[in-house]
Amino acid sequence: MSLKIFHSGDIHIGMKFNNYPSNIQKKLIEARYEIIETLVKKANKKSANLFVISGDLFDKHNIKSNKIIKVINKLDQFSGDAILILPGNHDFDNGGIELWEKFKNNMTGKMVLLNEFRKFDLKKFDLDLAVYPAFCDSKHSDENNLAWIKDAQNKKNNSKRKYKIGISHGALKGVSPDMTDKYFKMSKDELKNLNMDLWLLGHTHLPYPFEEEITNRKIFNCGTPEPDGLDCSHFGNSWFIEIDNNKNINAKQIKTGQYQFYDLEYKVDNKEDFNNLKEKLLKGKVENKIIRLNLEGRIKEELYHKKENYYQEFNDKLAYFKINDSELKMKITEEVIDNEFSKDSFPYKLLNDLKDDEKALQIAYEFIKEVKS
Amino acid sequence: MKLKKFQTDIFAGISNKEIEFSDGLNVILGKNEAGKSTIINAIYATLFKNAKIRLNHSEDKDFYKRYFPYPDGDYIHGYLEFEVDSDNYVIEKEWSREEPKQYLRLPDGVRIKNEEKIKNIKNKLFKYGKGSYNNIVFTKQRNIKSSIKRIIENDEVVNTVNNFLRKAVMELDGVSIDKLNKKVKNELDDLLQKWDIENNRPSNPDRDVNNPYQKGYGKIYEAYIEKEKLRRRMKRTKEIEENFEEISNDLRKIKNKKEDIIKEVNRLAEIEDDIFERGQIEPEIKSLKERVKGIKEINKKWPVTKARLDDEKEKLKELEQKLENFKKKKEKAKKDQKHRKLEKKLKKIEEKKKNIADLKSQKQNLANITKKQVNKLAELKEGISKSKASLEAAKLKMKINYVTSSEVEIIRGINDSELVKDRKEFSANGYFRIITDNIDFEIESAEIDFNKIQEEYKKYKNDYNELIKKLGVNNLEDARNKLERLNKLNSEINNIEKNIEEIIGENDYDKLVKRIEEYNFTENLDDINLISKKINKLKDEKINDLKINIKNKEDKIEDWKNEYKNQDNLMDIILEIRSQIKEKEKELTELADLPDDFSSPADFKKHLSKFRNKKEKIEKKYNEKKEEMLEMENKLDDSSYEELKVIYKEKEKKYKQLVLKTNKIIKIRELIKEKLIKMDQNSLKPLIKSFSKKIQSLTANSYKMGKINKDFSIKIKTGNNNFLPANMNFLSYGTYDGIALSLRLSLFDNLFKKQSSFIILDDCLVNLDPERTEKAIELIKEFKSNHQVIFSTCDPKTANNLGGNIIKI
Repeated sequence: MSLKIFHSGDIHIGMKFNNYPSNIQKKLIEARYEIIETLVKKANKKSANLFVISGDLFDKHNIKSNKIIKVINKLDQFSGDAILILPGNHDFDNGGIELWEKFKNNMTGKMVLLNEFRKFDLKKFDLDLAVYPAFCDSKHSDENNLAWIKDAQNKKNNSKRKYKIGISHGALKGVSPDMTDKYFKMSKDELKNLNMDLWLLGHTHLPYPFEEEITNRKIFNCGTPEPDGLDCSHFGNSWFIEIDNNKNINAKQIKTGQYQFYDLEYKVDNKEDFNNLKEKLLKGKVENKIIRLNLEGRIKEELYHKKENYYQEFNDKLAYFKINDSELKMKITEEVIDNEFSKDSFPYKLLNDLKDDEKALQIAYEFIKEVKS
Repeated sequence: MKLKKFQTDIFAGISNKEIEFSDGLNVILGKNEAGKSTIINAIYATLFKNAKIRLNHSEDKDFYKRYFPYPDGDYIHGYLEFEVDSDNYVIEKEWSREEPKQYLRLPDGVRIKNEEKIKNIKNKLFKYGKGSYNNIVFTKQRNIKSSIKRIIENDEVVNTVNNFLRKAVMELDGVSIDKLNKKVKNELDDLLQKWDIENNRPSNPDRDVNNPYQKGYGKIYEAYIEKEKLRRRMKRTKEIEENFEEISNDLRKIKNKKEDIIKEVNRLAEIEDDIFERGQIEPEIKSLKERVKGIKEINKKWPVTKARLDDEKEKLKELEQKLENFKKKKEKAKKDQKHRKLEKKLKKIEEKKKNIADLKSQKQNLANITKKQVNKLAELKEGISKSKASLEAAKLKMKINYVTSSEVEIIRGINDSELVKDRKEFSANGYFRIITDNIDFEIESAEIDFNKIQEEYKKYKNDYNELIKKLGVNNLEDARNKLERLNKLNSEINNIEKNIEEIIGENDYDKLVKRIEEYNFTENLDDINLISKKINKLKDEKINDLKINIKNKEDKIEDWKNEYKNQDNLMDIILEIRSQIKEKEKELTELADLPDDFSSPADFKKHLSKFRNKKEKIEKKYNEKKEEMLEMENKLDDSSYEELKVIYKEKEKKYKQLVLKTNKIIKIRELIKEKLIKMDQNSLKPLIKSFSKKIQSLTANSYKMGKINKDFSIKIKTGNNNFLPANMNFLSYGTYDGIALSLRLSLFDNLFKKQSSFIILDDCLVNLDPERTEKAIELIKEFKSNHQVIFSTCDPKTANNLGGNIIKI
């Protein structure tokens, strides 16, 4: 028998996106529910046996009951054998969490909540598989929760099941950008030493490995299927992983996500640069692009005054556009000052004195231009 | 620098035009709309306007509109020869959107086409920037005029030349200092309201995030409060999230404990009934077994007890006999004791009797003197004494003085005769008798009847002696003593007799004596106390104990008899009980075992009840904690801490940018102030001088510059040396054009003091009255000696008045 696994996580149901205007905010909130539907459909299409959510299905603990049920109903559309849900650091379960009580009370028979440090035998789902969860039992932790698996490994008669899969949530050394060590940090070696056939991780929003298709690797991080912020400037991702009878592993990245976030930085010097930028930004599904544009550069006054036109167009066409052009400045050279103002005139002298303070020069220049008749 | 030649193929409305300029004064003369200004603009463009036309630039667009042939001219052209320090240069340009062309020919004939290189060389040749040329060298009369007009109109009063000039120069490029200041102030107000930029905090520290202003605040305050509010929210969110985690952890712990307790309660409750029954049966079996054991014991004890009882009874009899003997002995001892006492008494009486006999014999020895006799004796003795005393009362003295007889007998009183030999003195009572051989004579006292008394005396004496004799005593005293002894003996005898009487009582002494003599005393009999002790000991210690033992044994046997009838019955009873035990033990095997961790069903029961209590308590605790957790969950923020953090960073960035911007604007404000002061102090002096001179000549010496005050304000003086009133309207000095011309020429003077240049004056005298025009022409003429002047006019008269190289177009 081979095993087909659809591996996702970090969906963060319940994020509020309060720093976005209300129309896009609503869409972003809703997109997180919709992505579950999308993922389940994709998993069904690929006839996956197992649907795995490796942590942070929820962004926080105060999720209303109807929303929990909404999530469960969407997950329940999965037509495979079992759905495994692991609490992550955002939706950790220490055994006293109402969210998971509610979830457990409402989940259907094919769902397994991996909130105990013990082996889960999936025989009852006709799967020759044992699952070893290292879920999060707190928001932060210096240590990961893998220790019990090591202990379990040392026990005799550990598992009769053909496949052994570890599911964990936390920062993977060398992959996660998290440098604080607060997030259940684990290393690849540590995971490899635990003798699982497969490791399914969550937490880092970028997928790992980076290859779109890869064989015979054991450690996978799903990445978020629906990007959730400007620090998440990539496609949404999930993995479709097959383990064959000989335990060969073949995995493919599944690109998903309705919205894509871009936190872009560009240097522009002239109109051509602006036009190139425009071409780039307005390429593809503009209605699903959320862009923060950080512009820098020194441009001529003429163009400087036209920048707003570009921004307006971006604003009109993109799902959301935010500009930070505090480093984009008019090119105010001595020559510009010479050309604009008579020698010894007041503006001439003032601007020349500000030559070394570009920011002040910029402001003074704009003020002068504004009051100039 | 001077211009040599300008040529154009096409530029706006003119085509194929070539003009050559001479040194000194050049006048371009042409009718209105003949293209004078166009030529000037073309020269300016050739010098300064880039050949490439970009219609998306407003300046280019404007240039294109104004100078390109309508509708489809696609290029315009300019060619300019000029001289710098006797070197000739040429610039030629073809302005075009598609194919711009330009070059700069250097004095050595080299042509440079690269825009950057051309620009660099030009910067060296032209001392000043495009702005200076545009505003000062090339007329653009209307620009200067409009500046001046605005200064005069917009400012309330321009009362000094200094003020005017300062403003004029500063606002030369159309920049109003007031407007700029106002702009800066507005911007700062907009940013800084309610904000203390120096300390980076709200200007009223009490109105921080906890009590923010609702209106009237600036952008920084707003951004700051927004940021701080978010920070506060983050802090709260973090706290609540931590609390939530802590409480949920507690809840988990309680839950685990609760589950353990419930598990324990369930485990125990399941077998509770069995253990309860077991708890009843087990003690029953135990007590039955104990009963069997007891009966067995009785079976053993019964005969033994009986035998012992018999022994004890026998022993009791013996002891009682012994006791009886002791009692008899004691009786005899008592009798003996009584008789001994009597015997002693009788001995005493016997002694007393001897005593009486003794006393009686003593009495017999004494004469039988009575009290009467003694009294008589005393009476006689007194009679003697009385007679004697009477004699003594008649005392006589005699002295024998001479005696011849050998012996003389004398009798004195009642005394016997005495013999005296010597002469002597004598005394005698009542009677003297001397008898010698020769004489016998008597002498009697006449006071007494000596003979009578002598008689009486003798009688008494005689009687007395006779009684003494009779009584057998020596004298009265002796008689008295004897009487006393007699009386005492009598009394003693009497006392002893009474004593004896008392002792004997009514008994008969002899009978008693006889009784004693007849009584048989037992020899070696124990002391009565000792016997008593022995009796008590026997009674208390032995007999009583024995009796109790006997009673106990009897009771025991009685009890056994009552309970078991007889000893033979005991075994039957044991068998009966054993079958009961078996039955109960069988019942036990059907019940659940008592778990190993309990010592007894009672222990089990106690434990279970304790856990039921615990269960109740922990369920209550769990519910309370859960309630607490739900409350905390309700308090959780809409967004997670991490989500808020992202927003906070944006808010913080915005705040910081605003602060930075504000500081830059403050810097600009300070620099403006500084610049204004500096410009007042230094750079305006020569300009003021030049301008004053020109004003003077334009106003035909009506006005001239006054003294320069300490504050550099320059007063305008009239010809009569009167200073003009401080607030006079500057307009009265002349027309704008006059002032504008003066100003421009003054500025030009200042810029090109040390090198000659060209100046282009585009029809600048058109609005001056004839008198002023004349003066102006003089001023302009003055310039031609140092500079190349290119003057344009439509008025041939003015052209003639100016003279110089007249270029007609």
